[in-house]
Amino acid sequence: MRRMMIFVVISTILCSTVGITAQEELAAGDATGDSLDYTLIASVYEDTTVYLASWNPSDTKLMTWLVSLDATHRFSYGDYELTLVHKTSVSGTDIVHTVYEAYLLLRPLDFLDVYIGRKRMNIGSGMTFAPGDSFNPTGWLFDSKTGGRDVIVKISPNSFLGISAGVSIERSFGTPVPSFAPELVTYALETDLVLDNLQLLASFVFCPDKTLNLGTGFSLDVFGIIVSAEGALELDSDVWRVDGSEWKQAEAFTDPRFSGTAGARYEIVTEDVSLLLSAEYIYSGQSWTADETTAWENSSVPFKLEHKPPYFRNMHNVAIKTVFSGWSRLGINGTVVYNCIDSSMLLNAGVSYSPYDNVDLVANLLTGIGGPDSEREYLPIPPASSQAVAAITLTARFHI
Amino acid sequence: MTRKMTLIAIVCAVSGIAAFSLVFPDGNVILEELDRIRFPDQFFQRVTLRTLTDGETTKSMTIESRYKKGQGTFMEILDPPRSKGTRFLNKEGSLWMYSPKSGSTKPIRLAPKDSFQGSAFSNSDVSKTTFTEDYNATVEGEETLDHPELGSIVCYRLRCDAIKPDASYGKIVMWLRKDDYVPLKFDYYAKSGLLYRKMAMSKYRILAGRLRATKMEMESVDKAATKSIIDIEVLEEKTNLPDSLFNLNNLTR
Repeated sequence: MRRMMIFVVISTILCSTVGITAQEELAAGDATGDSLDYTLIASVYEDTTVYLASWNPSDTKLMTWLVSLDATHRFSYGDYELTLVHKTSVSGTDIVHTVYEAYLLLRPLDFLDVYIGRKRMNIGSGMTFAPGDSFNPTGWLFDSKTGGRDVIVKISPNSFLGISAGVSIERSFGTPVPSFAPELVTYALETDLVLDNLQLLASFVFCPDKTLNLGTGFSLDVFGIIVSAEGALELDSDVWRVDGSEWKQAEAFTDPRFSGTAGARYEIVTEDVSLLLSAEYIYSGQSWTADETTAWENSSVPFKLEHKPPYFRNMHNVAIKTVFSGWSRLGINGTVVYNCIDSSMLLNAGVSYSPYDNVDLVANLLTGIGGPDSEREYLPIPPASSQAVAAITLTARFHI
Repeated sequence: MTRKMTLIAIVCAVSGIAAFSLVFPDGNVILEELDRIRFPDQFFQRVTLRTLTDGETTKSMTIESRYKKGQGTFMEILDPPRSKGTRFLNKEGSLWMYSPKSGSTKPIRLAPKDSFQGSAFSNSDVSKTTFTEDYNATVEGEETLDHPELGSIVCYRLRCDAIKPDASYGKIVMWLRKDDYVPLKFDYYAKSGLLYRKMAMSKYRILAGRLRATKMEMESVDKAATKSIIDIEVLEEKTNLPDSLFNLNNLTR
């Protein structure tokens, strides 16, 4: 198994060298001629993670290690381009492959791009949450790059207007046996207009059996502060609401819900340091009221297993992010998502040091603050979320 | 006597103004010509950007860019591996970046005035190639400049004042060779009036049909220990870059 990993790493490094050479040749003539061009963007890293059962450091529940390769492979030939974005992780005898995106790009006309395969379609400009995006697979905070099985057409009639249309059969793959079901096909349309320092967006997503979502938004550069806001009205087929102490499923497509975000981001970069600050208020109409939150806490385990909490557990949330780098290769970052109803939160904080241009050493803390039936439930940390309170990860990363 | 003196003063003033306007051409005409001298209306280029700081290893970056007048600039970092694949799109009034290693497929907006990747150049220095949209130029006078490569050069001192609130600098003072307006050095002033960046140009070569500076050395006045150098490796004039190249869709392609 280790031999295989070594083979993958060496092959990647060799391919990387070939890729750079090929790219330089192409660049010199700046031609998209009929020669095959290969580009690799990749890094290899080792993660050692400790899961804590309590805040007592000696109360370690589990320790794991992983060697992973994150890679983007891009093959270009004339007007064709094949892209694979994946992660391969090895831990002991286990190998896990995750394909985020794998698609063929055709460019029949200068202003027309056609993507076929697994590709993520950008909907909205939200920093943490895109209320109009019910097209892509839900990845929440911890994954915003996995695409769905779809065909996407992007039209760029000029430099300031973009139109994207997508058809996805991803939801068919959620059924026990993958099969084509017309009522599960999802359609999306988005327009994106950039006028000087203003960006305007409008989106439409429809799946006959699942959702109808109409969204709009903007972002604006105000003296270096990027201000953005989005809103979406969604009709959903699978909404559960509490009536007294009983959970009841609302009749499909009868309960339109508004969701929205509003926030600002400011980044300052000098020769020595860079600092990014962002804050965003998130209102999630499909999420729960305080009564529903309490009812969920009292719900039976079988009900919880059958019904997942919504994308955001509660209606009112705040997300704050800060990233600092400087002081000769030091980096600090932190992200907090605060649930305004039950005061629970998710916290992700890291410190990094880059002794060489291609090497990063990172220590990261991921934790949830609150009870078992709070935001902690969203933490992607095994074992059961009610057991672990935090994950501490030490990473050594080499950029290829 | 007084009347005679007044008359003489008026004659001198009028002839002085006339002489001034005869000697010095319109600053904005020079600025337009400078934009043409620096870069063609459409081009592809590959540059190396090095940032040198005392006591630290030199940081080096290779960048490809494509520019089309009226549409914008599209750039991609080829090297080092940490930043490889990072793309930038500069359009009038906005700058966007997409990093394939960010864990997101969405481009983010940047502030054009900030430092480009921690170098002494700002984002707009690297991505914006023209001055005429943002500055009003006047010739302040003639000077003789000692250039390390070209020797003693008679040049115009051109003062460019920002006319748009989102211009990156409050004022830029430029020294251009009198004969052909070839740029020699620029001083960049903040809106507060403070001088904070100085750029010297050298290694003049015929590129894309004109004599152009291929080395630009930028120093931060308040950070004397740091300077950044851009070397143009390839510059090719283009005639058919599609407008769609400068669309946001292309950043995350």
